[in-house]
Amino acid sequence: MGNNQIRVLMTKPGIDGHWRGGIVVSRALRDAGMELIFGGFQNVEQIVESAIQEDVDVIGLSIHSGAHFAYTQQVIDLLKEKNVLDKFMILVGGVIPAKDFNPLREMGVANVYGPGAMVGDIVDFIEKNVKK
Amino acid sequence: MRKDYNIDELVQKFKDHDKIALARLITIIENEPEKAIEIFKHFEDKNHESYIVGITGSPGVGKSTLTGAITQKLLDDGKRVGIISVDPTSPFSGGAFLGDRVRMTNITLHPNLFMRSLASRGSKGGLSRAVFDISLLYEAFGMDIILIETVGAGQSEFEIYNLAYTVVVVLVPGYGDAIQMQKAGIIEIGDVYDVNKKDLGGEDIAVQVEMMLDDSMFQSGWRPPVSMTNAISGEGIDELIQNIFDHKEHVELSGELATKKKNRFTYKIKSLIHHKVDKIVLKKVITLEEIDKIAVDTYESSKFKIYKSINDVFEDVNIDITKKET
Amino acid sequence: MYDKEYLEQVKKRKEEWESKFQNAKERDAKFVTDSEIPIKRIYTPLDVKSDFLENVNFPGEPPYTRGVYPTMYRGRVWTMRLFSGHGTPEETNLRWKYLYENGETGFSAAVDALTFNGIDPTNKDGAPEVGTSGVPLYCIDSLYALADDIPIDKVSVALVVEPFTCAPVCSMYFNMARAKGYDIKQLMGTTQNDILTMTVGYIPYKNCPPNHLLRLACDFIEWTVPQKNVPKWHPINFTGYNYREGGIDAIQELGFVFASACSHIDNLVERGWKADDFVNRLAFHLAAHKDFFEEIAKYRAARRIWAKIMKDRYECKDPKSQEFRFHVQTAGSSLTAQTPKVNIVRTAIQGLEANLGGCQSLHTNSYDEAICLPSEEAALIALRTQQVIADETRITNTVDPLAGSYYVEWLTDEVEERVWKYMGKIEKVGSIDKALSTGWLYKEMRDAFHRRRRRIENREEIMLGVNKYEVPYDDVTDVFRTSKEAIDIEVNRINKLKERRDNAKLEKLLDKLRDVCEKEENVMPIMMEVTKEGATIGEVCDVYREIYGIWEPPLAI
Repeated sequence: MGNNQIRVLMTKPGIDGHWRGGIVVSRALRDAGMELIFGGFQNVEQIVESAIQEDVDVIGLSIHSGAHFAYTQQVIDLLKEKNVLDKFMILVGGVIPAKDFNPLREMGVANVYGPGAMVGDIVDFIEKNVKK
Repeated sequence: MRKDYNIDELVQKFKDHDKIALARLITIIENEPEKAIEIFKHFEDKNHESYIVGITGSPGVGKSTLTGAITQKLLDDGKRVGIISVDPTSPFSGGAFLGDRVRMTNITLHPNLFMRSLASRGSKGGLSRAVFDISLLYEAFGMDIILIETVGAGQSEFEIYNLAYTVVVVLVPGYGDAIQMQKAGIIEIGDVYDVNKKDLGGEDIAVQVEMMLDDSMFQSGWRPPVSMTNAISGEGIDELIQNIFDHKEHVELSGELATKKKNRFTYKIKSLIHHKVDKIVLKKVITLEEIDKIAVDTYESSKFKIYKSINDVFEDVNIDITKKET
Repeated sequence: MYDKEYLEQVKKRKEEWESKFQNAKERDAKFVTDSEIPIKRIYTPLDVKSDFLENVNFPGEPPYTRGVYPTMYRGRVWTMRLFSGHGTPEETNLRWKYLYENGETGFSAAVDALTFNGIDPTNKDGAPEVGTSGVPLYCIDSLYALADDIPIDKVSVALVVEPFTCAPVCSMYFNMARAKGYDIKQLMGTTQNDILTMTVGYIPYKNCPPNHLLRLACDFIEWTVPQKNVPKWHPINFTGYNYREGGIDAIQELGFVFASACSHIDNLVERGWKADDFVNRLAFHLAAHKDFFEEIAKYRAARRIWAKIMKDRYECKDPKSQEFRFHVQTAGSSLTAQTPKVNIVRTAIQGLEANLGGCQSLHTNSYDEAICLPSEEAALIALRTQQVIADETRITNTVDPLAGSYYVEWLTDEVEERVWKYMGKIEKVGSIDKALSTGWLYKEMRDAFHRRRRRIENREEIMLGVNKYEVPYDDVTDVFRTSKEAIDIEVNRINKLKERRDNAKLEKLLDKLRDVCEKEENVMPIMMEVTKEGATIGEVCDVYREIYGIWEPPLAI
């Protein structure tokens, strides 16, 4: 059964309820042997506190509201404030225009997944790049 | 261990009540049990004791929401609470879906609360092996109450019985739970019963549980009370908490608590010793491949030779354990 | 329909044809519909089992298979109604005017996440989303701004809000209309008011439990139609669209909407109404998905099934009660962020399905749907798409042109049969709110999500650009961004309102609302007073939360 599984927090900052992507990815990550902590709807403080208490390896932000820059920046700022930013891999997924991928990466996001992204790619990326 | 986790530094911060340090120490203990010695040596002078409550029941009964509602009330009362939520690891993928935290969003930020979600990781008892160690860490951290939430799926009830001082068994209307529970002998381990989701009609189940309790024997003179709750609306939670604290008072006054505390340790110590012995036997006496070969050979020759072939193996073995010279 | 002897001749010839061409090579593909109904190489009169007069008949008469009106688009073309909203009510008002000038014939308000969930922008958890996915309608002043100079007395307006916020938003709209001097008894429009829109595809944020949502939805139906307060309004659109987006198939889509409709009708019948009193104003919202003929067959089958349900289950005496009216939205989930201009083609084909299927109202998606909210240019193309169909293709020359196609008639019958079976399955679970609260619907949805994902990953279902002729995401198309000032504008709007209104009077009215909610009486009368007095959507919904509790949907991954 093993040990030292990759732990991922799947969460949605804000209130827009489009959850299909987050749910499909959650299952895929579990089926790939990861431990998926489902955060549901959380505000920025709750996201950071959960990530800390669960000591996850990856924070997955599921955003379909169009407000991805605002939320991602707020999460990153708070992680920086608590001195834990370098501990987490941050991934953003949802309705994100391709033009915004690089700006998000420059903010500190490890990778961005738009509509129709293949879950296999997400699993591969995490497995290859997570710091364990 | 993650390269940047330094146990000494973490312990220092932990003693300063830093939740980040607590979280990281839990990670080390969960993934590298052999490091527990190094961590625990810093706490040998700590003797704070928490009261441990186990919450169990079939999937879907609303345990997480219930745990959240109970926790809210305890926090309101000024208690410091530590939660450990265990969910099963998938035997096929080795991964797990840990869906308890989502039910407790509105208490996440409370300064007196710490919660950790664990996967069972194939532990034979259903509870993660790390639960005991984490409960020690929570005690060192100063928690007043520790809530351990598990999925009642057979054996994990037994484990929780040997870890918690009060076991709450949660049922829900409509699933024939009470009958299944009686079959599994779970009736004997519950100290407090709760029928959740009462808005779906809990009276029948509550009556069934009372009837089964009528048929049972209670050694200690404590007859488990049955409460009815709606965890979402908060109905009945006060009564449930009162029942838990009544039980706490009962075990304290009757002296049973001392027995339970001892049992919590002896149970774990025995399991650790068994684990060590297992390892030694596998190292010195017989390997896994040899075990496999014996099994196959026995089966191919005659299944009725099963006990004989095992006796034969150990006939030829001299087990000699000597203490080291001092 | 064909006499027996003739059919025998056809059968003989068919068998000859089949054996003559039995070695003709076919592609290595699964010839099935999107819902996996196996499809033959050819359909002939032998496949048409339905009796024409009994099951197909003429448009404007039960079972309405060919259309609910005798003249359909020869009498009046479907309503071209683009779902739109962004930023602030003022900006949305401009977009509405733009589309109206360009030929739109109905309005449809797409609201933002805060409006959907009854949250005020002063709540910081939702604030970054003000106006980012729709128009904010938080108070009566917002409705004034939205409807400024819009001919709401002449043109139908759809308010796409669900049971949780239906009463506050619609009462704000009706109050605004009254204040402008309109007679609300003449107002035309629709409210989506659909309990199923809040499911695994879209999880509601801090809404109340489904049994209360069902009752609130029926309160609105009761107050508008049988109580004749806004008798021309369509108080509900049973919506299968969001489910199809999640991956369920055409059969399940109809199963869900009909089950939902029956639960609502049962609720109103329990209140003492007769189905004939209100059923005629109930409408549906379906998807137009990728399988061209299956979708058309679905619409025809839907009309026939509804007519039968009204006649057999509810014993409606008025034939008008058997009419199945529906709005269609083309399938957003079929659109790609890769080479987005191809979406124009997809949408056009899907729009055509809806029209050949006889819809009453149509929304066509904009090609940038998978990237952002519609830009003005993209919305215009979406509108022109419908206008090409209406004005240039001449498909409106005749009613139900595909009737009589052996394939289409056979497929209509096949879809109908499967839907009845699926409805039997749902019936076993109970009423629609039980199907939600027990988690049954969630499991069906979840299984559908995963099935669809697997089909796409296996290439059983093709999405050009994604799993065939793969290309990266488009990063050239302009991204439509909503106004960053929207948060401040809306917070100010509410603050000004709070200064202006009589707060003491409002408190008393909100207490009355609490009382009505506790007693589970119809909320609409008090809601009309409360929103007229300036209550915000957050204030109203907080009362609901207080009395009914916050629902935690079952979690199924």
